[in-house]
Amino acid sequence: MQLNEPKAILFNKLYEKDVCIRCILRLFKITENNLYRETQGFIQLLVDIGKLIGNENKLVEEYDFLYYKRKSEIIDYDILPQTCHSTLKDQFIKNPFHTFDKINKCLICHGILQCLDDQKFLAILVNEIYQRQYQYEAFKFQVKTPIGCQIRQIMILNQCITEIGLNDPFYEQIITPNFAIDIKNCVKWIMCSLLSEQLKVPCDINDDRFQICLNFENIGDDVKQFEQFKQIIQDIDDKMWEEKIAKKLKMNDPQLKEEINNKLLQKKNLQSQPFLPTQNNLEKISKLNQTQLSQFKIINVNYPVKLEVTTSYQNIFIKGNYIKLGRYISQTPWFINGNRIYADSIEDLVSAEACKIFKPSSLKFHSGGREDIDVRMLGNGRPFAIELVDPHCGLQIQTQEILNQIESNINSQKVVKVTPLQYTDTNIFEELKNSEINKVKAYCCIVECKNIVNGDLIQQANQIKDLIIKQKTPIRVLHRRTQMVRDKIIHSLLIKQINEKWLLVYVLSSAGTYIKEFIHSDLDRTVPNLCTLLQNECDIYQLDVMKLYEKIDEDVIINFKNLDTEYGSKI
Amino acid sequence: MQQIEEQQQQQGQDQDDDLMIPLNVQARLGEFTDRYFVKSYSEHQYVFQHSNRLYLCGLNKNHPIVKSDSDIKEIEFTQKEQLVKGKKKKGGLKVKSNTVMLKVHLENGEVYEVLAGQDGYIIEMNENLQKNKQYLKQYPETKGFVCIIQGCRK
Repeated sequence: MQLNEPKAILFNKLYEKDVCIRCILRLFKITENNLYRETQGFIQLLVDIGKLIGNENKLVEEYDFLYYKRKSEIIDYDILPQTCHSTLKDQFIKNPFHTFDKINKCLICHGILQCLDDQKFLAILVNEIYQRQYQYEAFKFQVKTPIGCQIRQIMILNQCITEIGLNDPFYEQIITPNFAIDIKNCVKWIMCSLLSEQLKVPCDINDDRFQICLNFENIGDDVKQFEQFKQIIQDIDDKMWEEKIAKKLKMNDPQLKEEINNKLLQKKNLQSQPFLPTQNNLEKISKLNQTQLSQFKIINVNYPVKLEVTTSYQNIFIKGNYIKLGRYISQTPWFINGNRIYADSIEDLVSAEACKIFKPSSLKFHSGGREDIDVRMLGNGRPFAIELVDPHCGLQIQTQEILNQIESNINSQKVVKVTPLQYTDTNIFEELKNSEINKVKAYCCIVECKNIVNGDLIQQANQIKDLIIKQKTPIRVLHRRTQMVRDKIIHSLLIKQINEKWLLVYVLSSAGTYIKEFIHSDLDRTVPNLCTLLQNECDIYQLDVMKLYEKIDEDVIINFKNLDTEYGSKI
Repeated sequence: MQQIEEQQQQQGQDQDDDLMIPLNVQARLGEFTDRYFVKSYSEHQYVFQHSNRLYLCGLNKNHPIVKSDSDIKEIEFTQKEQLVKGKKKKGGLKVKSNTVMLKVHLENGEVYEVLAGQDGYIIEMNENLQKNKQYLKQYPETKGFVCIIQGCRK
């Protein structure tokens, strides 16, 4: 940065107003990183500025005094997590980590930039990360800062420039929005190398796997800073809208009157709503000019800044097909009023080993459709994927051996088996959805008829191809599904007689067909159904999903017709 | 996969033991409505409550329509049809247990009123009764049901 007298005057003014050195440097858009970290660099800068404003060492002396005063305060006080201000208590669910209210706060950044290289703070931060026990080889660093700081920045700059009273091109430049360097970037410049030293791994912005996020928050202060702008922003918005309308009014549009009435009503409602600290509102405020801004002042509040440290590791996806050999096992854990209904679930059985190895924070189970709890899933199995969320041991090389280990562990159980597993990524969701909607399924069920069955009708039924059935939402799910009629297709049937009144029925149908209702007609709410086809009253006793096919074609039908020999008779 | 299939076969049969299917029994094991429904009868009508708390309502075997020799001539739906939308079944007609849902005209000239039987919202009237009027008489407790009602939320 080229120093000249107007810049020096502004620098001095800001400093006297209690803005920290790092904030002033970033307001002036100084990009030499070392100035932010070492005192030698900017002591020289202070000397240079002192020369220009005619008081060579005063600035340096003042800075030295304040710096050492602050340093001793930091060492003397024991920095421990403080309890929140009572009205903010509800706003923090996770661990409030550290408060900065014991140190002289910069007017703009609230002390965020002042305490970053403090040894004690760093030690607590590193300890927090170690305690969470992650494995990683690099980290990506993210920062979030309170939005109220921007308002304070705009206001203090405006105030200083008005008080100095000079017209300088640099002054006009410095108050344009987005000129100054963001607080977040400063935090990263300072913290990345410090953390990297302590954690002994490099900081890499391109490595998405392990992320550390420092979330600085001060909601109470944000709200207070934005509140005072409510009226003026509303007035500006109204004016703009009136100008728009004025043009249209000349055309005498009747619809317009309704629009105007609606807007007036909206305005009444808006008056009771608070002016929230959002990015949108911030942009509106930054468009205000100098005279408009000068009527407002910075509101000093004593809400402390809270820091929340979050760490996360990239999710791991594993996919495969599962086979369910038993009944009364739900797909995912089933609770009613806090009570577990069935002890086992496919989710638990399939993911137990993977969780032990990778240690995720939580688990998500995704599948391509599901079957009823009393129905078995046989054949080539149903596609599923488990998502290990935030795996603490995710670093270990994701090898086939680990997958084989997981697979053999699952297959050693009796009730659930899986096909060879694979690693995958978020593309799996599309595949699973596709499977649920498009796949054709073959079922086998045991059916009892009220009257003696008619062999000719069975022959006829076995010749069916692509019969369209209309199913109303079955009564057993009507309490949680939309009431509607669904068109489904029965591609083929294979009925074998066990004795006079008992049948073994194989059904090949489109995805989403309610098979039980096709068999017993659900009080004639599914038509046509097996009862009408066989002109008998039928009821179903057991159902198994035999196989999933990609789509319907001749080969599939031939394969289907031979299913009974493929699996052997059940009796 | 071959090995797994064979294992499935064996295990399948082991599992089937708890659901033993009596292959020699001639009598019917049970109706669809015997599963999941709790049945309650009044003098001429019934209300079956499903385990998911929906109610199935209709005429029971002792109703004069069912007992009469005369066939059904016409079934008049006395309430306006209201479509139910969405999973929460909004828009259903609110009825009390004594709201008249149908007026049934028999061939012999007798006319009977059929009541809803349960307080709540109508989810569905049995549309099959329009084409197959005789269901009401022949299968009053299954295919000839009158309506499905969702109970009032408390």
